[in-house]
Amino acid sequence: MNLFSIFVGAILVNNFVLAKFLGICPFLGVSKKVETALGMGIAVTFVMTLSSIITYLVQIAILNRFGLEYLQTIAFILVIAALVQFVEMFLKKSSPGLYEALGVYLPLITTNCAVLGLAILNIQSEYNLIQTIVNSLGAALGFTLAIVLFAGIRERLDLADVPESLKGFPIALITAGLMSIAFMGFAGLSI
Amino acid sequence: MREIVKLGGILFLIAAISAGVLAFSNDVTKDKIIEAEEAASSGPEVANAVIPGSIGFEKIDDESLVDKIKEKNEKFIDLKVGKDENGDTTGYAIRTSSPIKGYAGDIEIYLGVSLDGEIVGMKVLSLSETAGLGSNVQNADFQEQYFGKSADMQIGVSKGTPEENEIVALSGATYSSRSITSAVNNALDIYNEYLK
Amino acid sequence: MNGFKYLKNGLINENPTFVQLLGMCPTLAVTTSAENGMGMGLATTAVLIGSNIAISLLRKVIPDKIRIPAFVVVIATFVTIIDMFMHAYALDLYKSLGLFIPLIVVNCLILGRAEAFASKNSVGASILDAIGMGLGFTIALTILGSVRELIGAGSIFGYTIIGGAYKPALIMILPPGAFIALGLLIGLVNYISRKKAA
Repeated sequence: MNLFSIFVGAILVNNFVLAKFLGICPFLGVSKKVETALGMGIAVTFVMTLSSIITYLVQIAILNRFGLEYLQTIAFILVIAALVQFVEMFLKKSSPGLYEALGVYLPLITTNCAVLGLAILNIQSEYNLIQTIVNSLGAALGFTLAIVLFAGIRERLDLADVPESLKGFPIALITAGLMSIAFMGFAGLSI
Repeated sequence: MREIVKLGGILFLIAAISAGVLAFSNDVTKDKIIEAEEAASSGPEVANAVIPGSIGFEKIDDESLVDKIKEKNEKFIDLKVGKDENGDTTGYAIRTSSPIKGYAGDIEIYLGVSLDGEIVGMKVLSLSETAGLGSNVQNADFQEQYFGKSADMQIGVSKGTPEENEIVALSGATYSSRSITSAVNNALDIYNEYLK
Repeated sequence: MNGFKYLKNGLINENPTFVQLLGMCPTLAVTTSAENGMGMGLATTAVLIGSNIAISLLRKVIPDKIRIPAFVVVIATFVTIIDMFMHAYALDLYKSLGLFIPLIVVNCLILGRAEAFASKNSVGASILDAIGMGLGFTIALTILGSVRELIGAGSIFGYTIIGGAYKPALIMILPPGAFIALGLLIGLVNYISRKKAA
C-alpha cells in the first residue's frame, strides 16, 4: 500500500472518529469551542505519533522477540501513560498558556481510545515503521479535522433553537451522525 | 530521591505481579485458543459446509504440493481433502484469500470442489466487510449461486441478469461480491492447474 | 448506602451511558446488534468487577502519587485475562468485538469507578458498585444494539422480528446510525426525567 493512500485513507475514508469510533470522549467533551478543539487536536497529534513509534518499537524489539505478545495491552497503555505524563511536564514549562487551556483534558489523552486503538491497529495491519508513522499522522490529522469541524458546528448550534430534551449531548450526537454520513461519501475514494 | 525509588519500586512490583498473572493465564488458555481457531476453520460443520457429506478434513497425500502451490500462488493458503464417515475422499477444500480486495480488506474462504470438478460448497473464514451489506456474502442465498458451476470456467460478476458463468452481485455490495468471486476464481485456478 | 442502593445507582441514577456519558467509543462501535451490545457490556462488567475488587483490596497499599498508573496496570491485567478467555471460549463474539476488547482498558467508566469508589470503599461495597454500574452499562448497550438491529436489519438477537416487505434502514447499522440512535435515546431519557421532575 503506498504511503499517500495510507495517509489520505486515514484522514478521510477511515476517519478515526466518524468511521472507526475512536476518540469519541474527547470529540464530544472538548468540542465546544474551536480554539480548545484545535489545541486538543495538536496535543493528541503529538501524542499519537510519538506513541505509535514507541509502541511499534516495543512490539518488535521486546514483545515479539520474547514471545510476550499477550503483554501488548499492558505494555502499550503504560507507554502511553508515561508519554502523556512527559508531555504534561513539558507543556507546563514551555507553554503554560496551552497547559492551562487544556486543563484536565490533557491527562485524559491517556484514556483517549484513539491513541491506544491506533497503536494496536498499526501492529495488526503489519505496517513497517514508515507506514506506521504515516498512518499515525493521518489518523491524528483526521481526528483533529473532525473535532475542529464539530466545534465549529457546535458553536453555531449553541445559538440555535433546539428542543429542550435534545439540548446538549443529544443534538451533538445527531449532528455527529450527519457529519458521519457526509464522510461516508469518501468511501468510494480509492487512490 | 528515596521517594522516587520507593514509588518506582512499588509500581514495578505491581507490574511484575500482573505480568506473572498474565503469563499464568496465557498458559491456561493458549491451547484452548488454538483448538477454538482450528474448530472454526475445520470442524465437522465447516467440512460439511465446504464439501457436503464430509465429516472432516485431512491433509492431502502429496504434502509437498501445498508448498509448491504456495510458492507460485500468493493468495493460496492451504489445501485439504474432505473425508466422509467411511474414510473416502469426498473432494478438495481449497483455502485462499482474495486477489481483489473487498471494501475493507481481503476475504478468506474455503472452496469445496468435488472430485468431478464441480463447485459444491464454500465457507467464509475471514472478512471485514460492512455488517449488513458486504458481510452478506456469507448468506446461503448468495453463496448458492456458485454451487453446481463447473470448475472449468472463471466466474464473472454481473449486476443484472447473469450469464451461465456469472453470479449476481449483492446490491450495494459490489466490492465484496467481486472480492469473494476473485477468491473463488483463484481456488478454481489452483484446482485446474494442480488437482485435475 | 445499603446494597440495593448501589445497584439502583448504577442502573438508573448514575447510569454510565445515559447519564454519565462514559465509555462512548465501545457504545457506538459495537452496538450493531443486540448480541454484540450485550457481549461487550458483560465483558466490561467482568473487568469492572475484577478491577474494583483488586483495587479495593490494595487501596491501603498503593501510594497516592502513583495510583493512576497502578490502577491502569491492574485494569489492563484484567482486560487481557478477559481477552484471552473470550478468545478461547467465545470465538465468534471475540471476532465481532475485535479491537474494542483491549480498548476496554481505556473505558473511562472503569478508571472512573476505581478512582471514585473502589479506592475509597470496602471490597463488598466495591463489588456491588461494579455490578450496578456494569449492569447499567450492559443494559444500555443492549437497548442501543436492539434498536439499531431492529431498524437496521429487522431482527433482535438474530431472530427476525420484522420480515418480508420491510426494507431495513441499513444506515442504522452503519456509523451514522450509531450517533443518531444514541442521540435520540439520550434525548428520550432527558425527556422522561424532565417529566418526572415536573
